Amino acid sequence: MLKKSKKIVKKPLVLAPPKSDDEGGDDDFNEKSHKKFLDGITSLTKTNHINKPTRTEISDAVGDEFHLTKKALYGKEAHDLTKGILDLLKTKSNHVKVAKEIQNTKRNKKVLKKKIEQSVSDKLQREVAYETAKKKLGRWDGIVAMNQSSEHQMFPVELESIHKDVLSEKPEKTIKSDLMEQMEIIEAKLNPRKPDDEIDERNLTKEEIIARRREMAYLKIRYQQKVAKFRQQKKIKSKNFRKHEKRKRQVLEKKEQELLEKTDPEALERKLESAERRRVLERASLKHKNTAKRSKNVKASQHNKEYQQELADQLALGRELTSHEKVEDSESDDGNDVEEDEDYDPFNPWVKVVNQMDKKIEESSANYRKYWNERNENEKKLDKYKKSIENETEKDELKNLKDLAFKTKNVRPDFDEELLETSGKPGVSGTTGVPDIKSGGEVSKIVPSNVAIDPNNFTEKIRKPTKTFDLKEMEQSESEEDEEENQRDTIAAAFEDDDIQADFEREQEDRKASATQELDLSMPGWGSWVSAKTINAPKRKRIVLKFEAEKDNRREGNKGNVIVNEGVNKSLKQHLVSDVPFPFKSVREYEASIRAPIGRSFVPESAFKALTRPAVITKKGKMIHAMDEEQLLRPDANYRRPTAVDKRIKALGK
Amino acid sequence: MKVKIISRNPDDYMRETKNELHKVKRNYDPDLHPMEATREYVRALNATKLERVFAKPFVGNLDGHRDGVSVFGKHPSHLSTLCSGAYNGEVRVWDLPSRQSTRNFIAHDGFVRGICYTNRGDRFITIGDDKAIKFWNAEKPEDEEDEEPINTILSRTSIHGISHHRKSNIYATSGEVCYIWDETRSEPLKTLKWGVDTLHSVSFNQVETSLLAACASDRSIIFYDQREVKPLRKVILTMKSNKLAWNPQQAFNFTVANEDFNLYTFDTRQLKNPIKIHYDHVSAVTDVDYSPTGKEFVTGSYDKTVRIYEIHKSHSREIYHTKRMQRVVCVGWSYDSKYVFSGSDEMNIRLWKAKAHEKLGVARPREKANFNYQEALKEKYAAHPQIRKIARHRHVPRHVYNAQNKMRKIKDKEQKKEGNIRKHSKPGTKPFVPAKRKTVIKEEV
Repeated sequence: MLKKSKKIVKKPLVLAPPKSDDEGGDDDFNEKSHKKFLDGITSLTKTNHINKPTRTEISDAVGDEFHLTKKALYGKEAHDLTKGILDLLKTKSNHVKVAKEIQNTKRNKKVLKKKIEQSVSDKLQREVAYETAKKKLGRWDGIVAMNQSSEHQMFPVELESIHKDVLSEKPEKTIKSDLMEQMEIIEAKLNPRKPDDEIDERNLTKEEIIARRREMAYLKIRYQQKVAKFRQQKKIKSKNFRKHEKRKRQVLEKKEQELLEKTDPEALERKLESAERRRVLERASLKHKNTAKRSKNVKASQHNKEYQQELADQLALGRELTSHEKVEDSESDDGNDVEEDEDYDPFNPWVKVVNQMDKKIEESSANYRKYWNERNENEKKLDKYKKSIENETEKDELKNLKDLAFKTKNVRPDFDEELLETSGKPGVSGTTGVPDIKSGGEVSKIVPSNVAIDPNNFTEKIRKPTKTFDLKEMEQSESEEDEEENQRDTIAAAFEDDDIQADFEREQEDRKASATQELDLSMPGWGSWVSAKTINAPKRKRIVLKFEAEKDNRREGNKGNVIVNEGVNKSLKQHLVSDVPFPFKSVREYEASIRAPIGRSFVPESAFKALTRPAVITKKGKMIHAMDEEQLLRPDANYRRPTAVDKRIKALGK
Repeated sequence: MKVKIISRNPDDYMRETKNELHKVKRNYDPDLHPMEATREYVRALNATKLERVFAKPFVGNLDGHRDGVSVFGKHPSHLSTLCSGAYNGEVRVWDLPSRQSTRNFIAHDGFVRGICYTNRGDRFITIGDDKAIKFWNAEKPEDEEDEEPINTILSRTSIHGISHHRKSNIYATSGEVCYIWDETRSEPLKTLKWGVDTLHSVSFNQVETSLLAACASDRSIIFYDQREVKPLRKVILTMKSNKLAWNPQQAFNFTVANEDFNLYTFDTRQLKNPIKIHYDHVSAVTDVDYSPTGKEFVTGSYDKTVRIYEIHKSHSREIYHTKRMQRVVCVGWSYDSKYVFSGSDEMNIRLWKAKAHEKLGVARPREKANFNYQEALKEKYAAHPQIRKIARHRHVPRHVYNAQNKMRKIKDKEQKKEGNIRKHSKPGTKPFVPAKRKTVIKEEV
């Protein structure tokens, strides 16, 4: 058992000074006085030292039961604990060996660190787990960003692919040794096998065989379908259909010919010849003599001899023509030029007109040439300038970095605002209405571009500084001033006869004339019964009619010689946008997004389809599954979107 | 009588081969169409008006429960199947196209707290107030009286929520603690505990499949990893969260339905503040469910309305309500992203269209093109005041309208007061704290 170290350890230390050589000293030892002595010493320092406990007997319990020491017995301290024992052991010779052993272990072994508090360790564990989870979640960043930035998203996302490159994957364990492989290579060189198109079925995996069989089955089905279609089409008797087919064939042939003309003119010649032969045979076969519409008509009117005669003539003519046709063709080919034509008649008035026209063109062509030469030169200069600018921008790498940002092509206004929720009878609007259009500052007025100009106030229109941007303005901003002047001139020229200035002056005069006037209706002698000098005569109202002009409500700056029409757009105003909506930063940007039409009536069909494609496309009755890890792992090389063929093959498998 | 027929030369309008471009009979030169912008504006306005005319979202009503509907279970592979549990312990399986219940049985004593299908969809698991976890076959038994669970597990603690792993046969329950179970075992695989009374709901992440999160009664949201021994993190909000839904297309984002009338969308990696606060409800939000496209979510609230939000917007785009619909307890979004279900206190399950004005049934190509055009026009001219006004206008019940006014006033008052305090105190001592910063009280590690 353990005892307090006071007695055991301190005894030799404290008792050492009184211990004398003579034996009687032991008898003199007074316990009481000694304790008093010790108390006296302790009272000097006034602190109660409690020493480390020492073990006297072997015990299973680790650590001390008293827990009275102030210092912890872990780590370095624990190491120090052995110091006391070592000191003790060193005193006796038969313990030296043990002491050495202890010292060795002390030197070689590490002392365990103190266990961390449970709460702290939990916290650390959680932190680590959270960090790993965070990292795992981070893997999805790319794909999520891609989906967010893409203009269109299709759901459900299809990922499976039947064509997996199994052969290229190397097996983990190799059966053949390196030597065997080398031998095989040499053998292959010595007796080269013929390249075989057919893949050896033995080398294929089970899935590949299944896929191949499916593909074969699909091809067979396709073949059968084609056969059925061909049979069905053969039965169609519609003339229209045949005509259409024929035209189709002809167009294809023509295209082929064009291609051959460029690549292989000899083959073309051969082809044409054979076609010609076919045609001649066809015409000679007398197939068409009776089936033509005209001949049928003739047949119907058998008794009409005139008609019969006519038919016979026609047939004869036809025969004649067919016999000569080839010669004629070659003639017409040569006689393309008008000048060489034999029919050229110098007195023909029509031809004359043409010639005169030619002369006129020749005269004006000099001007044209001058114009075009200038223009070409200018264009060359512009190209050079553009190239120089491009080179500069390429050098500036920092600027090129900007291109890394996601590009959103089709920006649309994006509002995040409350619904306009009302209660009670429909039509009664709530308190939160639309932002007051009347009071709102007018940043822009979205006036439909290309508004027809009203001849009555065109001057005003031209002078008025618009904040909106016209497409034309943007395009022609370089030569803006000249353009403006030109436009003014042209408009002035267009309304030359109208004499707007005179109209305006007349209007102004009328306005002045209608300003306040007085009309004195008093007549001499009327209303005054006595002479004018009479003082006491009652004062009479003068009979005066006042014509007051209509009150002019116009603003100060608007009263001069220019009249600005202010109240023209009042009903239109409620349809105009007052602020630049969210993702846009300027009026110009926003107007650009509005300007381009998207409707079928303004853009071609393909553009219409592209512009109106919804951002999210879902299919009716198709499950949309959450994202899959396969989406993350998909390298573009091995996987591709399943094509229609793949899908059919897959369906066959089911 | 002579009949005149319209005859056209097919050469004018027919392509000679189908490989050729379509013949264009119209001149698209913009100079020839000076009024194109104006005409499109009018079309957009008309489209917006038509949208409101055709906005009839209510599809149908699933009638059959004899007590309030408490919970939904969506089948992972059948679009036409829906499972629902009620306050009286009854579970019904519905065939949605016919709007008939195909099965019904009493599964638990007291509330049915949760239903979830297994990942293969061959069976579903229900939990109730009686601490029992019951497994049922998804197939209807031949005889109705044979309606018996395949397996019943009695839990040691009460259970409030259940969620199934997307890929393996592991599921999690929440109650006093969070248990991770294996379908084949009757003892939980793991017990995840972090000193909380009750965990109301638990839900597995569908993308990063081992992650799950639970809402606790001490206003906190706790995250777990099914493979880890310890929970990951805890976030304490100002008020209790009722439900949590993970975004199926964005692995790291989730939304919680909170008791303080709002919803909060968080990024799991950055929990200091939500990335978006969704306002507009006028009472506690009870349930939330994501659209499978991950672009929108639907919420049900104690204010008797269902709202649909876009994830990146703080205000709802749609509100659904009917006169007879009471407190909405549970909502769901169908896996084809076309329909929304809501279960409410008055025993009915309602089926709504996710897009109120969408035409049901098959649309022919020309019709479809026209719808697309209308949508594009509405988007393009969304900023114009008339269109904005018409598109945003909704009729709401009086109590919602009044409550909203009240809330608006309260908010204004608080803002004003805060402004006044700031004005009369030393500059810099009362900094402006945005609402996002105020939501999270503490993030515990």
